[in-house]
Amino acid sequence: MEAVLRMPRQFAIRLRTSPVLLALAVMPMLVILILVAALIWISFQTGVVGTPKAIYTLKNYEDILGDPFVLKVFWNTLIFTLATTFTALALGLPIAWLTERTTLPGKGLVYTIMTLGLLIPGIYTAMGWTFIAHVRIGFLNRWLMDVFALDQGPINIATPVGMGLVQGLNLTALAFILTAQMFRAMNPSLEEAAKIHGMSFVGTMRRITLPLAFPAILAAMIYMLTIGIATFDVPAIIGLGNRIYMLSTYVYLKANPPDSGLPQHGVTAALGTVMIVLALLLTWWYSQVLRQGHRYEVVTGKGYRPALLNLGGWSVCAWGLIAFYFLATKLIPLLLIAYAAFTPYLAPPSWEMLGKLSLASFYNLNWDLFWRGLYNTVLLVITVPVITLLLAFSISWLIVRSRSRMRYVLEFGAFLPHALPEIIMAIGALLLALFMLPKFIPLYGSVWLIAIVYVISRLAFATRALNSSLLQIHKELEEAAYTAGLSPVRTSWRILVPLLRPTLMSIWIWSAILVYRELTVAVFLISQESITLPAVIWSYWFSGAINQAAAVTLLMTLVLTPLILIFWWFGRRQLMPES
Amino acid sequence: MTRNLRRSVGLWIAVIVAGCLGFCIPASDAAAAEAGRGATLADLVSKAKKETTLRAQWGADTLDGGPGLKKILAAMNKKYGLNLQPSFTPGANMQGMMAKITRELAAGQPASSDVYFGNPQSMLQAMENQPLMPMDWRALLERKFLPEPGFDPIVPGNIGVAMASTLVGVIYNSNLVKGNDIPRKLEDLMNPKWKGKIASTPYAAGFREFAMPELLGKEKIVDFVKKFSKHIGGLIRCGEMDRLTSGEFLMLALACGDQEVNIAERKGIPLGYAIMQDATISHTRYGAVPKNSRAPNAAALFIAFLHTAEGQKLMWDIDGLDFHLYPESNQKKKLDAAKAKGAKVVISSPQWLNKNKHYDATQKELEKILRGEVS
Repeated sequence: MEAVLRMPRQFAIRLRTSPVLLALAVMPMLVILILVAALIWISFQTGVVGTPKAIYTLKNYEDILGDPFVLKVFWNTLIFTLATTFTALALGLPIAWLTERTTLPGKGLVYTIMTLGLLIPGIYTAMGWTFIAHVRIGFLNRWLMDVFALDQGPINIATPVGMGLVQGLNLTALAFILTAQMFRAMNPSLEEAAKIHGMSFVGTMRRITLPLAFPAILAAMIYMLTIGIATFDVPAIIGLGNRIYMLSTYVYLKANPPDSGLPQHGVTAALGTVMIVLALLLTWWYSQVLRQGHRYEVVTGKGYRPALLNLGGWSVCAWGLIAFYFLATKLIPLLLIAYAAFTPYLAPPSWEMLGKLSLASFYNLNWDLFWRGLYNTVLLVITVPVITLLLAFSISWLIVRSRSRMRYVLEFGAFLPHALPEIIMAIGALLLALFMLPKFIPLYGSVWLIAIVYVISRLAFATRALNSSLLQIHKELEEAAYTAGLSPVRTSWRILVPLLRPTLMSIWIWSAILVYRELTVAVFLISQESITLPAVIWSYWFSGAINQAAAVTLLMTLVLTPLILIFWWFGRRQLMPES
Repeated sequence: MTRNLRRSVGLWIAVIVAGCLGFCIPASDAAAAEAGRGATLADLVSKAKKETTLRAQWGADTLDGGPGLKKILAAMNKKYGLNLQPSFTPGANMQGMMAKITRELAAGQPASSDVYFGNPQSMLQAMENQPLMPMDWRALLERKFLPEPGFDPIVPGNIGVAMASTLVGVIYNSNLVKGNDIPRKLEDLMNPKWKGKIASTPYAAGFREFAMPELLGKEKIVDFVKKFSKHIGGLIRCGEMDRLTSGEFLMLALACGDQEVNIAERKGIPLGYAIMQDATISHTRYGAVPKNSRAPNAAALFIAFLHTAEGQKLMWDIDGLDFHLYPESNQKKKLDAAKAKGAKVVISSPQWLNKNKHYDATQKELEKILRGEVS
């Protein structure tokens, strides 16, 4: 690493005279610091926050930490987060193991299904599962009530555990991606030795495989816990109407009261600060686990080839599990959303209702709103990945090529968005735009405010990916370009960008799809002019127009399909193991 | 960090800040704030011609959301010879939107909605915070109101005008709640068979008025709502009728009004409506123009248009609402029928709420109970 980071003096001088890259790298760091500072500052205010009339106090913290209801919200969030993590790992981990360590047929299809799982918005699964397993309207509950003559549906997803199950299904693909690589790289020699000594399959799994996989599983678990704390879409769709509040939805209600109350920005900021602390603690734990991961390194040299377990007839069961995942998270929710989109009013599926199917929801749709949402979403999909790439490239280049100590600051700053839940950055941006910036920068209600938060929140992933790729490109190529008289910017454009093209494309498409499906930031920051497509769905759902919400979801899925296909086409080579 | 590096960082920070300053917002449009003062209908029409778009934000079901706004604006354009384009975004509830507009005004931002559509509670908020533009509403309307003792349709300070009224009661899924099961009194809602199957609203619609001394009183309603909160299955907003037709909830108690049922009856959607014998409240809907509206003349004209006979009929057709102070009103017939049965009728208005000094605190207490924060 040091050898790579070391560079000739002449090259270092060039770096110092490259203010464009430096400015691009420093700018997002400043924005992150300002967002966090604004949040903390407002958390100590009551009255007219962000103005000289504000009163500085600890009351917001006293209110949230002394209120039993808020403690119940924390408890709900804990249960929800644990249920989410458990479900995601319970499904994702076996599928990852089956794909990487067995002779399961059709592995390409598994990767396609799991990629789809990463890309489908959470709001989609949440809506679908409301139609499947809601205690009163879920068709599964209704079927069970009919078959067993029950008074009430036996399954209730409107609980912290139920919502955790749905969110866990959403995150199964992530659990798969986070653990598949570990199973791919695991040395089978210890397992083979156990087999030679007569240890059973279950014993080997318990005493060899799982302990070896433990750090990666723990890291995946912590990562999902961090996501779970701030998840908005599933708790909002399923929980809000049923009075089950999580931290994210409670923060949302404090910022956008559904009752007669005024927005409590000080309380919102205080809750946000508590969430930052929780997320930072989890991220610290995550980094500790990753740091100690080398103790479990078992990969050998070039000749290493993991032996695959012959599944034989068990392949059918394995595919049964994968099919269950696909049906539960994709196909059935999609069919029910389509049903809701084509019914004139929402009612349980029946022959009578099937006879009433029509295009009424599409006809009655506010098309102006849909086009506005689509326009803003497309604008964000085009601009956010480009800006993210530009900033991430500048940061990564300085981190990898610079000798300055400042590179450590940049590295920390680039990782910070990973620790900050998007909801926190959204609240910080809202408060900043509303109370501190309006006299200088008219960002409130603008789509660019959303774009800034999107860019910042994707920097951690983008810089991590670019750092790895940049380290693999030897600096001699750049030195040759400098010798030939090219400026740092032109050198980057002519030498590095072509070499980094696969990584850049992968980051671009990944960011574009995440931007396309993102809801949490949007619900806090949207306005008439800046509404996005997921926010259109949310606004329909939240105001009770469920058929129209389903209609927009269906249209959004249609628009998303080409993007997913492009992502799959570009991404499959990186995700899939070499055959 | 080297000196050059520090200098570069400093330089770029200065450039970024300077760039940001270049985007300074123009000062708020003082002309817009003056739009309504002393204006006549002709003035509004003439000034509205320069305003190209009318932005509106309210619940997706209110005035039938985007499609409704489009229909109203088309009729209004035809009547006044305008070419205004509608721009609708679903928004928060009425009090939430009032809070948003007030917050935006305080922050020097344009209002999210050029025209405001609210209830007596939000107009009471507006009387305190003054985010709405005073206008001589009586001079702007084509028709005179029928007299209604004890009720003034103009909000004090001329900051808003009543446009519609609707009766508070219980909305139910008429496929699943029939015959004797249909509630007639508040106590009927506590039938054990409905446990977990009724929804209420997060803003305590109806209960907040019932708790006033003139009706059932705070003590009785707080006691009832405490029991009722443990009995209900969840909280939804008025207008979320899909959640009743789907069977997720069988009833909404109390609803904000009967407008959804008026529309549902025409479309064959299985919804029914019951007015409680305990008392009857007529909720009033108000129109107003935010001080930070970007199209204040078009907004005022929109409200004036909805007061015309054509506007009232359109509002009835698209949203099941009209104003009982006009002779042709359907709501007037319902209200007269309720009065004829001897029911105690109160017409809710910000003036009436303002008279009840503990109204705001009572509403907040009821909301907390319904959310489950207080047992």
